[in-house]
Amino acid sequence: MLLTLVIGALMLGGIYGLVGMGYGLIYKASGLMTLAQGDMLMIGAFLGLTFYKTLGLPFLVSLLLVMVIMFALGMFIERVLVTSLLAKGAQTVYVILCTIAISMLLQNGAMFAWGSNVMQFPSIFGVSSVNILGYEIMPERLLALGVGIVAMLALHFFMQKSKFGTSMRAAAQDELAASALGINVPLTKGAAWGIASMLAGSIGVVVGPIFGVYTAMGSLIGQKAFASAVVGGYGNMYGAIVGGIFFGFVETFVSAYVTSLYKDFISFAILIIVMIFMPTGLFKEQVME
Amino acid sequence: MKKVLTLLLTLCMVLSLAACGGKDAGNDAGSSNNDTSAPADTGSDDASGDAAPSGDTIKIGLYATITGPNALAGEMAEKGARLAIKEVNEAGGVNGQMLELVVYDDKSTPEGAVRAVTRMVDVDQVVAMVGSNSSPNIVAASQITEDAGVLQIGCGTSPSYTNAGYQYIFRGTANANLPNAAFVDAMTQMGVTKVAILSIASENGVSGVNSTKELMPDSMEIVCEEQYQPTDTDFTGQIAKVIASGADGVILYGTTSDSALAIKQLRSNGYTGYIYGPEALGVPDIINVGGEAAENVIFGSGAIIPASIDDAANDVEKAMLTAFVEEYGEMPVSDVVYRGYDSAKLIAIALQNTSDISDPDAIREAVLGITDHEGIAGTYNFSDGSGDGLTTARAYIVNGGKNVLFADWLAENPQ
Repeated sequence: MLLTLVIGALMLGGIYGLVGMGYGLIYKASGLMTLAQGDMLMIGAFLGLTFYKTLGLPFLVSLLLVMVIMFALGMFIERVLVTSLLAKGAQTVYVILCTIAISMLLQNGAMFAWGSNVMQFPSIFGVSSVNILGYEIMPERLLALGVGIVAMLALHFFMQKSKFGTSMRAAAQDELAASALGINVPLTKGAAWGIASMLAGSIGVVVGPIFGVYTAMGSLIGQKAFASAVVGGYGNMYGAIVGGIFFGFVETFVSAYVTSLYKDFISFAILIIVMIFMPTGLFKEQVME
Repeated sequence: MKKVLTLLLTLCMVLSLAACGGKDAGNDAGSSNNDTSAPADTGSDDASGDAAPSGDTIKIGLYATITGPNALAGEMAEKGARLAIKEVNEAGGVNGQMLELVVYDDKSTPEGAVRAVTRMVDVDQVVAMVGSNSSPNIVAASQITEDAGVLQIGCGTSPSYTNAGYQYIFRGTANANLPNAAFVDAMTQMGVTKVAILSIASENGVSGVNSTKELMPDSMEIVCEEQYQPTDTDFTGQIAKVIASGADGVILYGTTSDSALAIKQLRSNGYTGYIYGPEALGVPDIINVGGEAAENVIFGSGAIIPASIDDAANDVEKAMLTAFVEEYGEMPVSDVVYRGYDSAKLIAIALQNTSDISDPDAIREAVLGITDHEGIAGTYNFSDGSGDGLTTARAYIVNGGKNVLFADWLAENPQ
């Protein structure tokens, strides 16, 4: 039972963490906040389902296609919607409202395109469970965990080692100085939104077979990912992962050993306690403006 | 000046609204003044007559959720009833008189049901009607038929409208409590002694689990009881407890979509035993979404649409499905079709046997006199006056990707 729970918690934590990383990335790069990350996950899941099941493409190709489309969608939201709002002198809260509107549009758009029923994402692997140390584990869970770890490492090396990643970090630190050095700041901002939605979308594709695909699948995951980002230290990428895994463990173990009915109560109560007593999160990130 | 203008405008608005209301009322009143033998108002958008009406036909009403969120089910109720009426007419009608079906859409709302039933009682003056597939709609309209003494045989499953003291309301399908009894009975036959319950934390789940617990024999012990929220997608914690409890049978009480998810996760976490539950597990979606994981799911249900005509549960169902495919060119998509069919057939039998078709009490007596009608959902016996004609539902098992009668399966695979 323990290993099953640990793997379940790690997978759930990885999902929250990766989606939460997107919040941090966007905040770091543009000082803004989006509330549509959960719905990006949902769109990714529906796109993945369409490519994999309806069009019959190989899973890896479907995943890559989803990543490209989701990157473009995130970029579009920042470059077209957010920028034009900011150009009109809109305050941050209007941008947040705009992302709430986007979240509703995405949910209803998905309902229009794919319907309101829960859709079945066929198993990616031929078997329904693999045996590890005597425990039955769903291979899709391991895949979600694997994709999470790969995405985390890839993002880490991209941000730390690549030239574009370095310019993104530079632009986040000081826009004016970065553009004086010839860094295309609007591009780095757009890319941050793009990467955030790409992360959420790709996670959507891997959780589809586990959770099923439906229009409301992203809303609660999005909220918990947001909570993870806050607990880890809003704006800190690694903090979001730690926060996510923390929530994954709290949720899974609380429902296994304490109460399955009030696990969300406990999770979100912890969020409020963290906000009051550790406003900078586990990673001491300065977010208070 | 401004105040006066505002007042005037408000007055205008109120008057125009009142005028609108008056117009509607006038229309309805106008219709009800029509000669009673006049044909149904088929020109109206929400009513349609069946055969060419004549003065000699007996009018039967039907209201169902033809539009709205439950449109698919409502359409099935109508198609089932039409087929039954057609068969009755082809066999010579009721004592030589043809039946005519008048159909109304209750728009999936209780208000719509009240309007439809009022119209059928006042305007069309039907002698009996097939009640909606939505129980709240029947509850809303029951007082109207009760006051008018019009027989109503409902297609809804909620226990709420039978056993409620009504004289003229009966049910043409299984009461929702029966499927619970059916799967608990199957559990007993499978020799289950340690039960784990996983259910949704909503009205449906809580009341369903309570009713199930009352039905359980003393030999069954509940070793684990877990709930999940309607918004939950990951049941790892609950399922780990269910499996660790060592239960030899798991009851899953939820709605179709979350049940499918829970079945998949139970299987992927290593639960290989039998999963029991109510009719929510009998929807084709469970097999579509759950795939192989849905094997060995045992559920109770009034009647289900089989994979093919040959898999029908009894001869009545087989004959009805054959006729349905002949008439409409495809298999029905929801078991509500059986409810419409059984209800219309029951009405025809009551009208056939009654001593006086114009006397509501004589018609009621005729319904109470139905003691062994072989319907699709089982053998109807209304003699106890409760309004429910069936006392058992069937149990089914998912076997080889289709729903199979549990009794047949058990005979081939003794435990």
